[in-house]
Amino acid sequence: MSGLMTAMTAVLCIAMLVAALVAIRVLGDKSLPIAILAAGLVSLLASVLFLILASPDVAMTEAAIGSGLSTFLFFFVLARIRSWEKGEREYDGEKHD
Amino acid sequence: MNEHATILPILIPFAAALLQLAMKGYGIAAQRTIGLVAVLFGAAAAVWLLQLADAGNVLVYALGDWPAPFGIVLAVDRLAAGMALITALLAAGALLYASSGFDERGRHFHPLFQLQIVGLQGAFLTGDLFNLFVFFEVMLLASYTLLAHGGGLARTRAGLAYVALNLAGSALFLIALGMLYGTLGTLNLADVALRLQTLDGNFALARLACVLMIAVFALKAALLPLSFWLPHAYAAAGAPVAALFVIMTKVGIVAILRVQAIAYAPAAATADLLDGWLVALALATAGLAALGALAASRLRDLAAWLVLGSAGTLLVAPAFPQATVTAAALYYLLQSTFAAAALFLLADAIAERRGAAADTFQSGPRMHAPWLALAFLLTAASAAGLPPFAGFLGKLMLLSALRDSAAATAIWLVLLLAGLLVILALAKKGGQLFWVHTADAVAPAAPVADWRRSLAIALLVSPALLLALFARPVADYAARAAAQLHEPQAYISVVLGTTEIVRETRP
Amino acid sequence: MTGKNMIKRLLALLLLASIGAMFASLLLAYVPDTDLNFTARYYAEHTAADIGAANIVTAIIVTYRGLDTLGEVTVLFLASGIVGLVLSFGRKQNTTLRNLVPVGELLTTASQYLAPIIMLLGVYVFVNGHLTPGGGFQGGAIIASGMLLLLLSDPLKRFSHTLIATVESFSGVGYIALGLVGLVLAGGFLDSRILPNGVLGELISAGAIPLIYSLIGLKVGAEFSSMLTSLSETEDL
Repeated sequence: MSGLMTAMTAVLCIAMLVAALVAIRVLGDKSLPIAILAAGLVSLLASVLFLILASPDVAMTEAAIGSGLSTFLFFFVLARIRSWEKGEREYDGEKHD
Repeated sequence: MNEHATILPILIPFAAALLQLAMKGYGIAAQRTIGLVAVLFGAAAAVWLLQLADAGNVLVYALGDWPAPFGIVLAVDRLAAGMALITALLAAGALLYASSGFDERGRHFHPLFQLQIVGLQGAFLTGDLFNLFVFFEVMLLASYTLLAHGGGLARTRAGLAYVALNLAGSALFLIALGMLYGTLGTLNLADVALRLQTLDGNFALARLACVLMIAVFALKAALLPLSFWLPHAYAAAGAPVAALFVIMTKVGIVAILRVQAIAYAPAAATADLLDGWLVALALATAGLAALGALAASRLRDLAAWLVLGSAGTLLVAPAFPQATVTAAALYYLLQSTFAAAALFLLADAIAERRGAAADTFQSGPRMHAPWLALAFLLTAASAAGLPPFAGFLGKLMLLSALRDSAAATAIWLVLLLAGLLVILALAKKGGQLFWVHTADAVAPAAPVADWRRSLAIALLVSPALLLALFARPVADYAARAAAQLHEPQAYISVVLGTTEIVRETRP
Repeated sequence: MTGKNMIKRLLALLLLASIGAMFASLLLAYVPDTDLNFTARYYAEHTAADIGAANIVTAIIVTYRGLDTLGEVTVLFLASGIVGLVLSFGRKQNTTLRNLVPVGELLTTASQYLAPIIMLLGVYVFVNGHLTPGGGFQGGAIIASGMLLLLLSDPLKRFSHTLIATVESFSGVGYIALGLVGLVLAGGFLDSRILPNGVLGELISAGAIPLIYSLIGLKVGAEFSSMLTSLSETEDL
């Protein structure tokens, strides 16, 4: 692996760690949508990493399913939970933490 | 044609599930017929497989005709064939019971039930660790829905802890497999065994992968720190589903037995992996389960605790290299599986006849069902380990096989004490169910005697007696299965077969 | 945030950090192989001759480890079934009364033109699975993301459930049927060598792989689509 590749990998890994910390709501503004987006970002960066590691098949899967579809599935579920909470308990959907 | 017998226990329920999905519009009767025919054929296939496996050789079925370790193989020894037969019989009983109305309480019961069988059979028959993971997933996903069947949202919530814990377990399993492939370069169990034996230098990562794998199997088997999901989930499930679930803890136990005997024990790097801690935790599990049984307030809770108790008792076995211990454990496994499954069905049948009191241990209306009382007595006596029933023989074999081991005193003490507590629990609570009546309690209208239910209960209760009557041939088979399991070199050479020659010429 | 919550979070963080440290130390000690291991070498050397597929990953997924793939497809099927089942507990039919944020002209128009192209890309990916990176799972996911785009641009859009269900069962049954054909014509269940290997690198080559992977692609696309539609259609409660 060349020096440039190694540097890129290192940058990617650091970015993934930061995104992961946001995703488990240690960093950032601790809102659920941001956490979901951050989780999607981890997947996206992972797919770039897989590409660098010369496995395009895995990279495609990770990009399409990990960062694409599952992020949206999370949003669908989040919207559903919020509307359920509103309907069931007159819960204010904005305060979710 | 004989070679294809190996895949039949997986293929038959799979085909049945597809057919049931395709015939969604034809009513429940069609679904039931397909399901019952499929479990019947499945049982027949399992019997055939048992006969073939008992000839002595490990049957190897290479999927797509690719040799191990490059393709996936099913490797069926006597243990795998025996477990396949138990699963098929249990499934027959559970499905028969469910067909009397339980299956109509929710959607898609029948295809899910068949897919659950696919997962179970695959997990027992496969000789490849990643394939084991896949079948675990099939089994678990089907079980998530089956657990919630017939109970709507409430039962869905009851299963949430079970789902969350098992998802974590699956993630861990995947990590362990990744590490295993990274260090050993193979996922075939026989090949893993071979590579572990020749491992040199730094094997910390491979060892960690092996430990993680044991942890995952222990979660399925409900070993103590990982066992608190079991009583709640099993008691929440519908009776026929709970009866089928009894075999799921056995999947974990058999997996531990198998990887320990074939891969871990013969290799220097992993030989001491189970030493010390497993027996202690297993005994703690058995003790906890006995206390739980004593404190249970409903019969189905009691049955769930008994499942945990039998898991604890059985998990003593993998740490011992003697074939006699394994053989005794296999016999015990056989009887405890059927006894617990029968208790779940009996709890349902009893609850039906006691109106509001259901299967709680409170005085309720008098039940006019002498055969039910007899069935309960038989099952309870066997589960409690009273002579002359199968439970007694199983425990006796296990204890006498463990007589010479170092921890014999502790094992004997805990298992006997736990057994005593279980006897107390069953005697006291059974008496409350059948003998204590409140005069003014209104008995519900006697349910219509359904031949399917009676047959299902008879099918699952009778092993308590049959296993005692035919103890000799069954115990002999268990002894042969255990002896075969403890000959890993034979297993490895049959599974890997001719690829060994290729390996020698490797540059 | 209360103090108790804080302690809980700190404990969880500590646990994560210690597990991370454990794995990091193990990984640092790990020396990667300098050449392919035994199984990987076999795949690299024999795939072209055995199977005729240019993409070795596809060859492993569809042929060498075909049973795993069948299992995974089943798992996906079960998962989408569970989503539908769980969501059916509280379904309400009345979907006209919700306040929707108006969708921009740009998104509506763009999605109309983009969605067919995205789906075509998905089809390309799974049809060429044996030649180029990607295959049934990736292609299916791409098709489903086209559906997702349509759903985003018009949340009230309804897809034909019958069509999705038909595609799903057709591809599932087709996959099993191809596996069973292997039982009769070739070496056993799921053997892909029921068709000739053909010339390496051509579209019609590699035995039954293009067929099987196309069925898997349709199946995966249908599963994800049914998951998405059942989630989007029951959003209101």
